[in-house]
Amino acid sequence: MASRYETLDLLTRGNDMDIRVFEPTKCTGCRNCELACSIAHFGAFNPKRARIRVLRRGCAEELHVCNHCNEHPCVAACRRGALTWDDGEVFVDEAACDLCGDCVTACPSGGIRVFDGDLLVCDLCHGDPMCVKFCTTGALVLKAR
Amino acid sequence: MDRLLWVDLAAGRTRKTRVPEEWKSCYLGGRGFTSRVLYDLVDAHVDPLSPENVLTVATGPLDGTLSPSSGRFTVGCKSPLTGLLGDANSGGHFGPELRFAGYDAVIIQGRARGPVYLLIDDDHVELRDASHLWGRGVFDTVSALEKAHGSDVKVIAIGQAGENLVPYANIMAAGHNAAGRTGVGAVMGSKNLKAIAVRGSRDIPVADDERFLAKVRECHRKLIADPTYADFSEYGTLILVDIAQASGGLSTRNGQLGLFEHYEDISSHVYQDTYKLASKACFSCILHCKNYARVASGPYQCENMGPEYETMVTLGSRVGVGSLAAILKANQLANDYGLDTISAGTSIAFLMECSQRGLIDERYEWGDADFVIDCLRKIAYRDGIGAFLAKGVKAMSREIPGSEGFALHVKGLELPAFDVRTGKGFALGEAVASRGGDHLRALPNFELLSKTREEGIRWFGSPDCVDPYTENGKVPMVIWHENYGAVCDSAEICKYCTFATYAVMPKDVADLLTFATGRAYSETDLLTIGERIVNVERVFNLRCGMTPDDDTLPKRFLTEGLAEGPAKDVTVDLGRMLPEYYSRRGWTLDGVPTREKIEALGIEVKGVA
Repeated sequence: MASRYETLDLLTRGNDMDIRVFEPTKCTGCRNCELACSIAHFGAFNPKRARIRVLRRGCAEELHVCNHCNEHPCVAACRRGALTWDDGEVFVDEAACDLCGDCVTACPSGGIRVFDGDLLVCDLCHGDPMCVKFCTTGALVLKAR
Repeated sequence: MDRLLWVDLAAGRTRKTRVPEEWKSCYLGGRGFTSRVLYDLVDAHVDPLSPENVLTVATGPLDGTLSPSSGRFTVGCKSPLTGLLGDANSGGHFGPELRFAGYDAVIIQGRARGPVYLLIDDDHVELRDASHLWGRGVFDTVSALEKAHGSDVKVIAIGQAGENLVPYANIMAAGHNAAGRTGVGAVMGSKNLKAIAVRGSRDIPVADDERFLAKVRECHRKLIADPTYADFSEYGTLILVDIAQASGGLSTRNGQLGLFEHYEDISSHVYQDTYKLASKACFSCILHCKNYARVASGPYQCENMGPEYETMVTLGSRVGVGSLAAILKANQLANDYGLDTISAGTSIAFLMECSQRGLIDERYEWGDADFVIDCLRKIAYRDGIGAFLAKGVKAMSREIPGSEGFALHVKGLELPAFDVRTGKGFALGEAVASRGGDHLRALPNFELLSKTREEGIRWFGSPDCVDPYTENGKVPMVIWHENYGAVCDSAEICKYCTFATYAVMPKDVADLLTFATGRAYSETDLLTIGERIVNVERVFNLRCGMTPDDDTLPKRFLTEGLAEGPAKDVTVDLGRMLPEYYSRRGWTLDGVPTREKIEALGIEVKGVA
């Protein structure tokens, strides 16, 4: 849980009212967001476990992460009711999820993945995302909804 | 992590072993490992291009973590260019991926019967046929391997230059990060190894994650607060083109001049305004000094990362080329062929000066961009004049009487962009560097940053060490930088965050390592590790036949003053620094490490004074 690190002196501090915004021209592809995400959720560095991913294509940096979008087709795609939409966010009931991958296919952002027995969906670190804290270029920022 | 991957190309076999504890505690990783392997496993007398040479690719203990700018790797072997210790260091994303696959280093021995590439997918390791890749450039090779194995594999590869055993061929990471000195690419080519593709999905835990992350954040803050951060993150190393011109040391026409008449056309601002599309970062780096640029049309149309300052000079002012578009094109071609732009450009500049002085019959004109571009292809294929240029400056000058004085190399390695008459600490550093004419072993930027005399006393005990144009007070400064530089190369943390900015200091790296590994490191421990590595490399070079007479610079820098600019009439007096350097290193007057020094550093004694 990201709250393990809440005593750290970090640059940003979000709250539940904020939403994460990506500004692609400011992204340099350092992948600190992936590293911050994986250590926050798994206690180790491993981009394969990160719920946020940045892929470089030529000059462009593509962000793949759950944007908690208003359409959230992942929720409708889930046949087991493991994904729900509540107050602007997608939530995962891990006990109900059988890792079938239907939500992965349904997501228009390529923002959901399955790795090593886990469904990887951004939980915004409960309002205080670690990826934003470690993004020094301003590519990932928090804005009021 | 924690494993060595041994690859026997002749037998087509691989095996995995634990990294010896002593390697980790005494040599950290990266360059420490590659130099340790050379010291232990490579007979100093082997032909560098024979199967007996060993090619080691090593990561550092911070690779794969959030530690600032810590995603680098080092490739080491005996150099085909110098016949001495060779290594090259690169950023990008390959180093961390290798570590995510579970390996601290890959040690490659022997020679494959035909072209192969090494595929590493976590525990699965396989040598595969590379016949379809042989003859292809770096960009093509990387694309083909990404297509075959998924876009998330990270690739290092050689181009045609490495295949054709050009002694200054690079190993390229992802097509634009270069392990680019001492000809490591030729050694890879001699082994018939075209590429290494790796994918890793293992966790890299850290011993104390809270303190580690707090330390990372502290380092980020210090970096961002450093006065050099703004320019470096905006312009990258290209800002040095402007600084070099201002200090009278923008190496022009093979170092005959220190001011370039077309400087305005190749300045960082022109690049920024005309061609740059975006800033890019290596893994875990907040400095993002890399640039992505495009020449949209015309004969030099191209799109790629870079070039860096070194290339801007060696394929620009040093050969008299003032067309930025042409330099960008040349950089792209050199990356694709897998050529060291410093050595290639300096070899071409040497040929041009031979022509200027009438030492050869052919006419080659300064500033002929199309000739330079054509030469790169010819060097990579050893075609026509390229076969001569591919020998490198030292061997070329042996064949042209009267040219030795302006053959810009030390120990056979072509000299980088910086004109050492405008920085005497750099001059000493390049004269004694263990891989030959190289600025990155010492990189004593301290003397260039307009530090105060009080800072000079506080840091290195001399008010004069902050004056780039004097030899006074430089030795302790250079030794500190060499030792700390060896630490950075071994932890695989970028020197631009440790001492181009002086933001992340030895105590910080010690903390990062302590919190990451759980093994307690102090600042003193680290600088001793650095000193140990410098000494191991020195001993290996002496075994290879290097003598103290090789600790010198081209006669040009020792006797010819520059004609104009701030460094007018300045020459380098190595005699005022070398004896003190040897003495402070604990070496004999002939520059040989004493047995006492070697034993005190805990190095196994082989072939010392």
